[in-house]
Amino acid sequence: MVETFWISRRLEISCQVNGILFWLKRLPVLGKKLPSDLYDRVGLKKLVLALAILKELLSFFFSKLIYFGICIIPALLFFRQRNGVDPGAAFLHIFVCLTLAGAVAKNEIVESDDNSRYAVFLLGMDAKRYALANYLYFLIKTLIGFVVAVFVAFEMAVLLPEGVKLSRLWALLLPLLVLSCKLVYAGFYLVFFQKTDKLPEGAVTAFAAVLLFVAAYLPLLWGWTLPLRWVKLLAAAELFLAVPAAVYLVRAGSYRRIYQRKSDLRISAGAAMEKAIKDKFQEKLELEASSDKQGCAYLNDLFMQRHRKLLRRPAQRMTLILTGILSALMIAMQVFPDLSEKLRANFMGVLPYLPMVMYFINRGETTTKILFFNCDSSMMVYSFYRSPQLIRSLFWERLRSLIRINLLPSTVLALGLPLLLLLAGGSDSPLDYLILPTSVLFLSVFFSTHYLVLYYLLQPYTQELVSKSPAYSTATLVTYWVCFFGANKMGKLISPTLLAAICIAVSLLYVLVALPLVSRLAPKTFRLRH
Amino acid sequence: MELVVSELKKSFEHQQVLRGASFTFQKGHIYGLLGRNGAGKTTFFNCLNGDLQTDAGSALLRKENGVERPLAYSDIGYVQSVPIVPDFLTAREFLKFFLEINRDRIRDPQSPDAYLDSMQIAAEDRGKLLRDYSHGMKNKMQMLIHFIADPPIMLLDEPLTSLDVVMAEEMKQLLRRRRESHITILSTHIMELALDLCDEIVILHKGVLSPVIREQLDDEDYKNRIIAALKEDGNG
Repeated sequence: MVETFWISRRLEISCQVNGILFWLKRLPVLGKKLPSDLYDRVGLKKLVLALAILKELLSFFFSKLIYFGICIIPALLFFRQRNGVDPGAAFLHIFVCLTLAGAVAKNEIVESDDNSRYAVFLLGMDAKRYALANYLYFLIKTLIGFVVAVFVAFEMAVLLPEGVKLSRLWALLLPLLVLSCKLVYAGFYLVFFQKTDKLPEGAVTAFAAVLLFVAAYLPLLWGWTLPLRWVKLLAAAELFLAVPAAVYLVRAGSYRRIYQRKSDLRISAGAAMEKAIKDKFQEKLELEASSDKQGCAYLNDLFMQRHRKLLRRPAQRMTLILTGILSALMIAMQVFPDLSEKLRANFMGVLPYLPMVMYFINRGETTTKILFFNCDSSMMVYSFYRSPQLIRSLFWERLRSLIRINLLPSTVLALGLPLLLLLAGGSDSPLDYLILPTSVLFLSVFFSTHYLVLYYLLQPYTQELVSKSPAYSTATLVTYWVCFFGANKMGKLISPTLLAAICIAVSLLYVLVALPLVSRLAPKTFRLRH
Repeated sequence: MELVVSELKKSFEHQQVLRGASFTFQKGHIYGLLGRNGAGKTTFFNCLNGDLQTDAGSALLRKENGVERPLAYSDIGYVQSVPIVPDFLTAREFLKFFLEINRDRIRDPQSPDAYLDSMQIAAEDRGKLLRDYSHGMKNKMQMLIHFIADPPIMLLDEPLTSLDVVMAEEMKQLLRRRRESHITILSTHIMELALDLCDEIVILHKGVLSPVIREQLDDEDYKNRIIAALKEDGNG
């Protein structure tokens, strides 16, 4: 048992160390400088090992304290202030409910992760010994964690609101209560599997866990907490049941089968996830489509028609939503005249938020994924698809289609905003009626161009639709930042009119610079990643 | 016409995959590229195809008149082991698009149906989406596109392995028919295929290319010589 424990610990720590090294290697600048035989460097490994152990020790002593600090203490303060709930009673209530929820939600007796898969199936370690050794370690870790947390919180009176006291007996009991809850549920888990050949991990379990979690906080809203007598009864029952549960855990023999079952579940969950990603970017193709165009226009036309559900429908939905919101605002203004006045007073204040709204409306990035996944990833295999001429003319065809898709919702916004302004009582400056639609339309064209340009210049995707280009990630991050924060910040410094002028100028400039760049560079950059 | 590969080098981080690979491939030959797992056959193909940037060395096309020029994208047809075709097009549409794009390059072009006839793709299948094609049919389509494009150099990665016996035989015939006017290089792990189809065996071992000379050996002895070459330490 002890040997099994050490082997499994070493296995886990080696995996962790290699994981950290792998992560280091992937860092943008530093990663390139690190040698490729990183995993064989003993000195570096020792350093990382020390870090891994330090991390483990920290979690040993502080994780439960953090748990107190996040999950319990703020709630005590909140409910005391809101409806005068006694923090002591609230503490016990939340603690007990969360402990039960935790035991049900995450059962550590048979943990199916990469480490256990290596240990049990690849290295052929005894499943039961492996499970028990790790479980024992987990229990000890939990015990120490809670003893430390309870000691720091109650004896040293750190973190806790004033007046919360706990008797020595309870201070001792709480960590034991956690252990017994875990043990009892683990025992139930194995018995359930033994009797039904199923794992208690379905919707019912999840529902129970959620229910317990909600029960930890919700009743406090009405000032209700578990009566002390119930808590005592529950604690006594759990402590009493923990003994036979522990005996059963040691005697049970179905560990290997459970590992197998959990590993199967994990694989099928992975497959389901992969399918979900595929479904998102791939649609049931319908044969109906025809085009009398030629060459690239023909290809693009067929593509757009056969993927209209993926490409056009979200834009149409967005158009409807925007129409709904704008109409609702217009009606609301008729009903509540105050609203018109408020809107009118600061109507141009909407401008700093416009890039953010347009960012949301835009379908650029999704479209490039759909293009890659359903067309380019297969076409790029053929050398004729790499002819610079073809790349350029297909780019233009796509740009036109993408602009058209994005213009659908944008036009509604471009027409709706000035109309809204007019209905709110109009603006003193007639220029506003021009600024609003122009900015919307320019931004729409900008976003359409931007993502397609990024796609053609950086082609970040692999066959699995994973983005492999740090440059691409950085570019999208910068775009996001500018739209969400940059424009907003600038809106506070300069007038809306100037901001709109900048938006229009930047969009125009971007398009003028980016398009020739694509013509020039895309034949070299637009290709498969290996 | 010759494909002159000289001193081709390619490393991934500090792992040298190609260490100055040199070889001259000649028109009219089918070359079998053999190498152990991880020897770098796919890397070699990707470098020739321009999918990967090489670190050093060159791959040039030497014309009959002795003039050399770097490889262009249109010189190479790279046939993947798993056939990849655009799912959203029908066979006819894919061909129509392809023929329109390459209008100026294809000698005596025919109608899409005439090409599909030549590959024995049944009339009722031509209007189906390629997504619904079987593996073998996709393979035929992929080959057809490459054959029409008719690049002087054909790279085939593990061809024929996933085809049924009839289809595999058809493909072999097609490759043999094209042999005279092209440089064909196929990578394979199947010794029988290499011996059956290829005129010359080139091995990629320790990052360099070297021919295995057949001389007067019979199949069995030749096979042993190839295996011995692949086992060699590379120092001798």
